[in-house]
Parts: sequence; structure tokens; C-alpha cells
Amino acid sequence: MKTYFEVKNLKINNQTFEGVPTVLDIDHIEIQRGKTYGIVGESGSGKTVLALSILGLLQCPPGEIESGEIVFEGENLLKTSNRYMEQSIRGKKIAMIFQDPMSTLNPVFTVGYQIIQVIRKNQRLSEKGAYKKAVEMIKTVKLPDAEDIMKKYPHQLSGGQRQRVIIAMALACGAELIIADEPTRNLDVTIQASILKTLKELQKKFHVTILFIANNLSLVSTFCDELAILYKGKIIEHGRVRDVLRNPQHDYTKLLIRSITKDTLSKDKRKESKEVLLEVKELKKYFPVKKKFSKKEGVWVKAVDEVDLTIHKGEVVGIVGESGCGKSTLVNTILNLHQPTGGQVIFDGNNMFTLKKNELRKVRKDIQIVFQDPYWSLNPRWLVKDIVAEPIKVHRNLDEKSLLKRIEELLEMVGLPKEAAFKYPHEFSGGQRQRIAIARSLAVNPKLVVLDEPTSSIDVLSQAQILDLLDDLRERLELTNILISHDLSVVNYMSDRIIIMYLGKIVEYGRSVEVFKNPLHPYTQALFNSIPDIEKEGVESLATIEGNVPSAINPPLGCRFHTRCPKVMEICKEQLPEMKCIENDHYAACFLLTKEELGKKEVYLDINKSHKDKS
Amino acid sequence: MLSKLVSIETLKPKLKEMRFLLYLLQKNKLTKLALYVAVGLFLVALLAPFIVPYASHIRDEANPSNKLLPPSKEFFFGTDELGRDVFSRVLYGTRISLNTAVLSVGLALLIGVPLGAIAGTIGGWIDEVIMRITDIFLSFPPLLLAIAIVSVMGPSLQNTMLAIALSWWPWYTRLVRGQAISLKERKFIQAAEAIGTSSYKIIFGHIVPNTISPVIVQASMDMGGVILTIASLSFLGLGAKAPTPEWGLMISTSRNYFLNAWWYSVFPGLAIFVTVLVFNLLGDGFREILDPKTRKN
Amino acid sequence: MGSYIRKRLILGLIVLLGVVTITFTIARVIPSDPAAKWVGPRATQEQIQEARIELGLDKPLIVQFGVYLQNLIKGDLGYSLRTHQPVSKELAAFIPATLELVLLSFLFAVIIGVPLGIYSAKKKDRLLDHISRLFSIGAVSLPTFWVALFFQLIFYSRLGILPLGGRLSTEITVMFDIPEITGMILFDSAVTGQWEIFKDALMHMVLPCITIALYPIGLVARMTRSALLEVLNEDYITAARSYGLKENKVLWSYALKNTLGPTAIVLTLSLGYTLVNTFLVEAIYSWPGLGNYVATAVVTLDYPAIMGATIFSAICYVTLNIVADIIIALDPRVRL
Repeated sequence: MKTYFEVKNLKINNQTFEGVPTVLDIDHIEIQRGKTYGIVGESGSGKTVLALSILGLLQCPPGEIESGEIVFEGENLLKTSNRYMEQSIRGKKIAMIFQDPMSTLNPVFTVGYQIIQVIRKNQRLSEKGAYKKAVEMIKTVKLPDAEDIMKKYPHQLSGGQRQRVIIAMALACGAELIIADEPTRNLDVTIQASILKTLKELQKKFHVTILFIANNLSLVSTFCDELAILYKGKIIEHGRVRDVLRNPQHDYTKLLIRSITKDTLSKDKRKESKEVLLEVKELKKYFPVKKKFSKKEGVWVKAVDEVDLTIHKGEVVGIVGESGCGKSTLVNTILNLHQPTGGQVIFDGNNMFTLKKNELRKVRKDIQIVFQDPYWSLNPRWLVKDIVAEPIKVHRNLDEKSLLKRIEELLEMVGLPKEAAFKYPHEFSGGQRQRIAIARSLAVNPKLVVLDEPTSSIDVLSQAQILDLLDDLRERLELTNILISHDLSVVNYMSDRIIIMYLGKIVEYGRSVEVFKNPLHPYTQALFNSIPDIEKEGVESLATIEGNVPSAINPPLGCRFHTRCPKVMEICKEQLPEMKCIENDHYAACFLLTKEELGKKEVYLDINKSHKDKS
Repeated sequence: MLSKLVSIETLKPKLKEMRFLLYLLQKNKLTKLALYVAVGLFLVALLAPFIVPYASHIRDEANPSNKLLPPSKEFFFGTDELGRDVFSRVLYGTRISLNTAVLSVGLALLIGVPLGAIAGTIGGWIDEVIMRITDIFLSFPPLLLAIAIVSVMGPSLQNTMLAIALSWWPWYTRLVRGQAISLKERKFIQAAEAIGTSSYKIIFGHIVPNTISPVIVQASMDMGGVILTIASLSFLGLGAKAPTPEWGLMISTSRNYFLNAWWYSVFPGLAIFVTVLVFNLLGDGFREILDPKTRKN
Repeated sequence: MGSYIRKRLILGLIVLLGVVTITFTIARVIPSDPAAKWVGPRATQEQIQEARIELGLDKPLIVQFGVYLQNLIKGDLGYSLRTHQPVSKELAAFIPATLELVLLSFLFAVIIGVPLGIYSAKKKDRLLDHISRLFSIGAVSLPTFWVALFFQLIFYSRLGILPLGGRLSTEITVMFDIPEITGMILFDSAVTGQWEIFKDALMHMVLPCITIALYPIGLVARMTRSALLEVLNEDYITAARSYGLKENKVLWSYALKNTLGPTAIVLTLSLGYTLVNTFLVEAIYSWPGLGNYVATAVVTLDYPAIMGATIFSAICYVTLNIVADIIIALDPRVRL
């Protein structure tokens, strides 16, 4: 049988400051017609370069294809002319789905115009015929109101909708091979699951072959038949998904697999303290909706709406939710970076919102934060020593010598050499930068450290190390942590308790062991099941939630989740369910959890009351 | 002792970054050439009093016997109506133009950068007020504002400088404000806020240093425009006064003789052109290498 | 959209009010007595005093400012101290000459600058790109007044093919009745079919026009190039190519439409530059326009005339800025 698609001995160089490093050095990739082939690689491993080279769209210079072949249906694409690629390959035979749906659509043309252009280029159709075809394609990718979508500009669509439009475009060309370059990056997991399902369905319907590129092993293994691991420009391992997962050969693959199957830390050693460190009561944060030049009164984004929570000394509380659920706003309001709209935050016995400026500064010293992206959270113009010293200079008075000593001590604590003090952040890797950020957060001996997605933008190899460092520091310095993450495995690994948020409200919380074992709220259940993991086989096993997250400007009445809930009842649309303690400190807010269904275990308790009981 | 050590250690990475910038600058041949010429111009400006062939011709000295001589071995660029060496005067003019331009741009930066950083970082009504004032200054055509100022204060190089600074600062305010607004979204600013760093320190410690690259680009591109404006004002009789060997002023005087002494107006004009060109090329080069989009590679 | 334009106009008015205030203040700080200027050097102290009362200069500054504003709204800019003519009338006589020059130069900037920029971006890093870049950087580096002199030296004194300055030759003004419809001779003579005059006017316009157009041509070419290159780097361009769209389609439709905003802004900006550059060029080519008018006013400290011209330029500037903002707002991405 003739091979459908093949890459042989491909070598691609890239010109940089320090000589000429090879970006890609691929011995062999082979894809059979109709199959789904996945390539897993971290950012910088050369995934996108490969995708662009296949289509002959790699910018040369700076890129340079040194040698090799890309054979498609028996033809070496690297040898063909650009004209031929334009006329007969791009769109017609091979199409691409890019990672960022916002920047892939031209912002100044309507969606319809763009699809029609693509159709007319690749198929002999009249303007009318192309329009009909476009509408049909939009319906095929399961977008509602196709005619309406045609008239919209890209920015008027949500991320998920945009990605569906792009899938429609790729299929509308009639392409037989689709290169999907991280098609679900920047999308929420529940949206991701439904996009993946649609893509799979359409693959069967249109008999296309898919080359799926992503940085997430679980995602690729759920979606693909075969996979290859790309590491520093080389394919280090490839084969059928099950084979690779069961019997990984390369150390890096083993590490990748271990990183996503990590168990939870043994948290038995942690003493359960009854001492409350942080108490949040009915916290509200509304943002006024600002239309340019006209401030209409009374229109608010309810980013955080009446949230209560209690954090005890020494524990790690994880907050989970999709983008827009209010988890970051919640933390920023607790940190007093935002002015609250209502409610109280009591930290270590101080009411944060009534403190005077001076006192607030003192209290602030005890709460520090480590941000998600260490590339943006460190001032690129400052030396590491100045970065780490910043909180010390604000809160304490140290002479130059003891300051330097303290900085060295902190750097050592986070596992960096003393010499790091006199370097700039850009001289470090992502993991090392995150260590610098951690050192800064610890500089003034805080009591509470907020970890905002601490590992989500660093490479897999460093992730585990950072998590272990954080756990080690927590124990040594008796810290309390709030951990925000969309990565459930990280939350599961680190936290004692977990809070699930949806659209500004807490829908469920409890001991993480309990919640993971027995999620109660329909949203929690869907969320957990929509996340691909290597145990799941095929996208069919993923749960999806239909519809988009409603806008927080006019959150739905009743239960916030009722517009998308698979088990919605009449009552959900009218009344807001109360938070109920279901079992053993496991709380959830859902009408399904009624007396009948829960039998004897059920205890009606207002959450505020339970706080009072404790204290 | 320790602090001395610290300062050397601190310098090292900065030097490394500078070397990297220079490396990037040199990659473009035209920019490289412009860089050398610019360095040369600054050297000429610095050493002008010592290297001009006829130092006394800088002043009001008249040598009627030599007047309006065409270029020769003795006078490379010929002589003017008072018999002074045009070459010496053009050379010395470099000093005047660069000096005035640097001071004007510096003054404009001194006003514009802090205002922009404050407006962008703090926002609210402060931003509103600063930006409206900026708008007003921007609605004056720069040359016209300079004319108005000079006509109040009387023509002199100092007043020209002031006038140019006053009409140029709003551009820096706009630029820095835009930068500050986008920087504010960066996590390190939020980190500083969470730490409790004061607004003053956030503005001048975090924001301003991070706007330096675009400001340098803008300033070096503006150098060209400023040199042109200085010459234009002097040409209109609103800048340097005789006998200052200012290029614009020289061209202005040469108008009376230009039909029979072409060298008198051509060489100062060429000097302006070359200097402005060099700064524009440099600015272009800077912009290309400092542009984050091209720097990624 | 409507409310946005309204807001923008109000802001524009506020800015203009600021300009008027500043010009008024500057005019009053000028160390010269307008009343003495009004009556001339040989007037007596009493005559000066009379003039002061006549001109309303005896009233408190704030009242004077109020009166000035009131008159301004009616389009009355006061009287020139030199000629005793209404400034608005004088401006109306001088503006068409300048406008003619500015518009024609601007036209050059558009039809040469934009294509040059597009071409340069298309052929990035090829020889023609380098030449066009060098040309456009050179064009913005030339001192306008010097170019004007240089052109005169070559085309008038050496080659003798173009006139030295002015709008028309003396013979033509003597021989013909110059039509006055808009005040722009080129336009007026073309409309009335007086080709003799048209030809003469055109000959006179060539040098000033090219001199003024050089700067905006360079500016527009550079900006168009960099705006287009930036857009060509965007993902959606790569995506359009990946769907097999033709390179010409990608460039002329997908990319170019995205550069319309920035290009239009540069164009309006360069129109402002052109206006100011005419001030220098008019002096050299003895062009009887606004620039010459201001130059005379500055020398004679004729402050109502300076103020009038400044306010007129500021109105042009503000209007251009508003136009630029509206162009930005037309982009579907900008939500109003």
C-alpha cells in the first residue's frame, strides 16, 4: 500500500544570535489515510515549524530547509513550486487549523465573506452556490443560526464559535488532510471537549486524515490513533497510542506520563489546624460595564457574587473553575488589589476593608502571590536581586549588606545559586524564573501565599519540581496556600480542600479526596469528565456541556448553571440553590441534592451557620 | 568595598545587553553605516573648536579679500560674503545643531515621560486632564507654536530649544502613556502592587524603565526632525543669531548670494541633510531591532 | 457611532478653546503695545490712549477674552494692526493659495507614497525595497527651505525652464482677467477654460509643489510599508495562504484592508505637516499664501493676524485629528 503522508529525514535550521541551531530534525513520520496522528511537544519543540513547512509557508529566512522530503500522495511537497502549492495543495488537499482562533480570522471581514472566499478558491461554485455551501458548513460544525453567523465579524463570536468557524473553513475547502495545531489551546475544557467531539465526528463524515499537534499528552492520547513525541526538534518515540503509554521507551516520555498520572501527596502528615487564618464573608465584586464614553448606570459584571469561604492555618485550598468563573477576581479582591463591592474579608483577625492605609500595608506583608506566567511577572529590566528585594525594601529597613545576605538565603531556599542575584530574568528558564517569583513572595515571611496557576506555563520537566518545592516550603515555613489552577491533577496533588466555582459563585467545596471521589454538583461532574486523561479512550468518553458560559453581565436567574445543566429542573430557573452540607464537610449548591436522594446523610445547613459553629 | 563589588557585578549584564543591541544594529549594513557616521558627528561636535581649519572664522571676523571664493584646496567649501571659511563654519555648526537638538529632546523627555507614565499608570481624572492638555499642545502645528513662543521671548537659540521642547513633549507623553497602560496589565506590576510598593516607585521604578526602548527609538527618530526644525526656525530668523555658524542661518544669509555662490548654500544644506538622514536611519534601525515582533527570533 | 462622533466633536471644541486661550495669553505677553501699533509710530500719547479705548484694551483681560471669544463665534477675528482690515477677510484672501498648494502636494503624497510603500513591502529586502526605503528616508531628511533654494538654483538660474516664484507671471496678470471662483487659480482657470492661465499657473506650481510633497511622500511610503509588513506577519494572513488563497488576493484584499486605518492616519497627519511646511516654502517662492501672511505678521507683531492664522491652523489640525479618529472607529474591531 502506498503511504499517504510521509516525512523523511527533514532538517530545518533557524538563524539566531548564537550560530545556527537546528530546529527540526525528524527521521520519519508516516500517516495512513483516514487515521489520526498526534504529535506531542512542548512550546519551542518545533511543532508549528513542522506544520508550516508541510504547507510550504515557513518564512525563509530566518528558516531554512536543509534537507529531507515531505511526501504527500507520492509527491515531494518540498520540491514543488509555490504556485503549484497555492493552486493544488493548500486548501484543496491540505488545510490547517491554527491554535489561536482570534488571530486566524481576519478581523475586518465578516465570517461569511471569509468562508465564501475560501470555497470559491477551491471549488467551482457561483457566488450563490458558495454562500449556500458556507451556510451548510456552518451548520455542519454545529453552530446555531448559521445565516446570522455569516454576517458577524470574528470579534463578535466566542472563542469556541470561532474555532468552529475555522474548522468549517478547513472542511469547506474539501481538504483531505487537516493539520490541527493546538486547536483547543486557550479554550475552556468543557468547550474543548465539545470541539474535539465535533472534529472527530466530522473526520468520520468527511473521511479526512488529521495530523493533530498539541503540548498535552492526555489530549493527544484521547484524540489520536497514533502518536509521536517531539522533544527538542526530534521525534524520540512513536507508535500506537496504547503501546506508547503502556510501554514508554524514552526517559522523557516516561517523565511526561508520570507528570500527568501523579498521585496525590501524602497529606496525612499535615496537621489539621482549627485556627482560622482567612475568612471571606458574602464577598461581592461587581465591575461597572463601561461602554466607551458612556457609563450606563446599573449594568454590572458580577465577577464574584456573595462568596463565603474559610481557610485554616497550614492548609492548601484549591480553587477550580473555567475562565470567567471569577477565581482570579476572588483572589485579587482578597488581596485588596480590587475594591470590593460588598462583604468582608477577615485575615488573621483583621478586617481587610476597614483597615487604615498604614495598617493595611502591614497586613499585606503577610499575604503574597505567585503568578502564573513567570515571563511576565518579573520586571525584565531589574536584576534578580532587586526583584527579590522589592518586598523587603517596602516593608523593612535593612542595610545593603544584610539585604544581600537575605537575598542569597532566599535564593538558596528556592534552589537557585547565589550568583543568580546578579542576572536578569531573561537569563533563566521558565522553571527558574518561577523559583525567583517564589523567592520574592517569601521574602517578607508571609503567612498566606496565593499560587495563581503556578505551573501552567512552564515545561513539564520543571512542573513536578516546582510543585515539590512549593510543598516543601509550605511545610518548612508553615505557610498556608490558596492554589488556583485549571489543571485538576495539580489541584488534586497539592490541596487539602477544593472549591469549584462557576460564574462568580461557589458551586461545591469540600475535602479534595471527597470531591474527587464523589463530585456532587452536575457542573463539577461535567468538568471532571470533560478533561482528557490517558485513562480515557477516544473523545467519545469525554463529557461535554452544551452551550457557552453565559455572560456575567446578566447572570441567569436561579441557579447560574441552569442554562447548560443536563439535569435542569423548573425550580433551577427560578430559585438560587443554597449551599448544603452533604457529608463530612462536603458542600454543594444544587436542588438535586434533596432529602429523598440523599437519604439520611442530608443535613440542611446554611454555610454561614457552619462557619459560626466552627469558630 | 562590598557595594563597589555590587556595582561592577550590576554593570556586567547591562554591558552584555548593550553588546547584544550593538550586534543587532550591525546586522543591517545601512544602520551600521549610520551608527558610525553618527558617532563621527558627535566626535566632530565635541572636538569642533580644535579641528576646524580656521577657528577665528567661527566668529564675526571679516576677510574682505577672500569673500565668496569657490571651493578650493585652501577652502574646501569656499568662503562666504565676509570671506570666512564655509567648511570651518559647517563643521562647527555640527556642534551647535547637535547640542541644541540633544538639549531640546532631553527637555521634552523630561517633561513628557513622567507625565505620560503618571497619566497611564494612575488613570482616572489625572489621566483625563493630562491628556487634554496634551491634545491642546498637539493641535498647534509645532512650527507655529515655536514661532509664537519665540515671538514672545525674542529670537535666540535658548528660546528655540524651549519652543521645540514645548511642542515635542506631548508626543512622548502619548507614547509613554500607551506603554504604561499596557505595562500595567503585566503581572510584575500587579506583583508590586500586591507587595505594597508605592505608586511613586511603581511609576518610576517599574513603568518608566520598561518604556525606555520605545522612547529611545522615538527620541532618536525625533533628533532628525528637531535638527530640521532648529534649522527652519533659524532660517526664518527665529533661532540662532549672527555670527553663530548655525546651518539654517547660514542658508538664510546665503539666499542673497545664491545665484552666484552656490557653495555657500549647498554645503550647509548637505550638512543638515546628512545629519538628519543619519538619525532617521538610526531610528529606523533601532525600531526594527527593538520591535518585539522581530526580536522574538 | 453618532454619539461617538458627537463626543469627539465636543472634545475637539474643548481643545480649540484651549488653543484660543493659549494664543490669547501669548499675544498679551508680547512686549509690545497693540494700541501704539494701531495708530502708527508718529502718534501722540492721546491718540494711543484713544486707540486703546477703541480697541477695548482698557478693559480687564478677562473681559477682553470674553469679547474675543464672542466675536470668534461670529467669525470675527478682529482687525489687523498693520492694514486695519478685518483679519478674517485677509485670511480668506490668502488661504486659497495655500490650500491649492497643500491639496496638490497631498495628492502627490497619496499617489506616489502609498504605492511605493506597498511595493516596498511586497518586495521586502530586495534591491527595489532598499532603493525605495532610502528614497523615502532621504525625502523626510531634506530641509524643505534648502530644497526650495536648490530647485530655484537649478531650474530657474541654471536651466531657465521654470519661474523663480509667485503664482503667475506678470504678463499673464496684465493680459488676462484672472477668474475668481474658489481662489485656486488652477481650478478656476480650468473650469473657465482659460488654458493660457492654467499653463502659467501650473508652471509656477511645479517647484513649490514638489518641494512640499517630498516630505509627505517619504512619510507615507515608510508608514505604509511598515503597516503592511506588520499585517503580513499576522496569523490570519498565514491562514489565508494555508487555505490556498492567491497571493494577490491575500495582499490586495486581506492584508491591505487591515492597513487602511494606519495609512489613513498617516495621510491626515502628513496633511498637517504639509500645511506647516508651506510656511517655509511660501517665503522662498514668494507664494502669496497663509505662510507669507504669517511671516509678515510675525515680523510686524501684528497679533490679531497671528492669532487668526494660528486658530485657523489649529482648526485644520483638530479636524484632521477627528477625521483620523473616525477612520479608526470605522474598523469593526473597535466597539463603540
